[in-house]
Amino acid sequence: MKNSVGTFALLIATTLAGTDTAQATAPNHLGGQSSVYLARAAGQPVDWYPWGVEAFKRAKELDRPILLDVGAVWCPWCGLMDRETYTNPETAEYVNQHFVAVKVDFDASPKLVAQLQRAQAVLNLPAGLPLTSFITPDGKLYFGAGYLPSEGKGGKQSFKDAAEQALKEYANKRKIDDESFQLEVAK
Amino acid sequence: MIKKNILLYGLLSLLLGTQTLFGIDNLKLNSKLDYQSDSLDGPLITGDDAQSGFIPGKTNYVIIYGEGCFNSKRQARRTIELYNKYRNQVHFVVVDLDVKRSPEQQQLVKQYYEGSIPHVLVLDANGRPLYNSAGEVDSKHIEAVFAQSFSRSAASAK
Repeated sequence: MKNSVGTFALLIATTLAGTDTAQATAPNHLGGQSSVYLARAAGQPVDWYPWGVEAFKRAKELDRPILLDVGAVWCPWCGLMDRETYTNPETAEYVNQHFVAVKVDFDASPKLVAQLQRAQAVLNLPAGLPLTSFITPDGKLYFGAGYLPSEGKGGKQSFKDAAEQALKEYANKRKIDDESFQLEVAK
Repeated sequence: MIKKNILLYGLLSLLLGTQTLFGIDNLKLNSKLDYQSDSLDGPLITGDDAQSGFIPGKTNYVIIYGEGCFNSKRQARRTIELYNKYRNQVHFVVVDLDVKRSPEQQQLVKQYYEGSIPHVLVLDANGRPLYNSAGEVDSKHIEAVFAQSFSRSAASAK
């Protein structure tokens, strides 16, 4: 009997410890995602949300733009951005302070990705992969880029520079009304 | 006199085999492309006046691609093969979605691009699409579409 109680206590302790570990390695909202691309980002310090109502609701509450990253497991430049940029604690803190971050798996959401790539193409923005988009809480894609290095090199804009530009443009609501692409967003 | 000069220039251009009067020329495949992965090796195709758009009065072949896309690389290779064979009859338009595009190219993007790369278009001399689809396409099929476009032009010239 004593042993059973001990075993039970150990089981509870293990479960709790397991929960703590899961929380420590999954500080964002991507835990439990079936997509490998999203699941592997569950441990990143960026507070990623999957695409959906919750993320847009949060952006509206905070009056912040959405930073959206589209990538795939087979895309080396997407992996590089994950390693260089989104796992960097300072960058993650900056993202978490100024944006609501959303991650999308290219392979899991072909219709959504086609919509996003068309939006960036129509706005004369890079429209390949990875895709980095900046979207208002009501679903207007107003700025974007492709691969963004952590440091600007070879005339290429750095992630931080692009993010700063996106914040500046977010303040100009009139310009966004004139030059943006309205996405289909579930309300 | 002016007419004579234009005629001479036109003849000279034809003799030199150049299409400078008609748009993009010297199309070349990026020799560093890696066909083993979705690597990012820069523009897939280079050429003079790479921002040219649709030119009326001629069959136009348009490829819309992304630099890091494996399927785009394969279609770029076919594009160059077609260019080497049809450069005197067809105007080739190369739209790279990873760089800023000219208003002429943006017009094509807005009208035809649906969000999947590569996207290939064949427009007849009047700008009517004879082929308009996302994904890779066999060169034989495109050659058949070219033939259709040439016969349309020949029929309307009669």
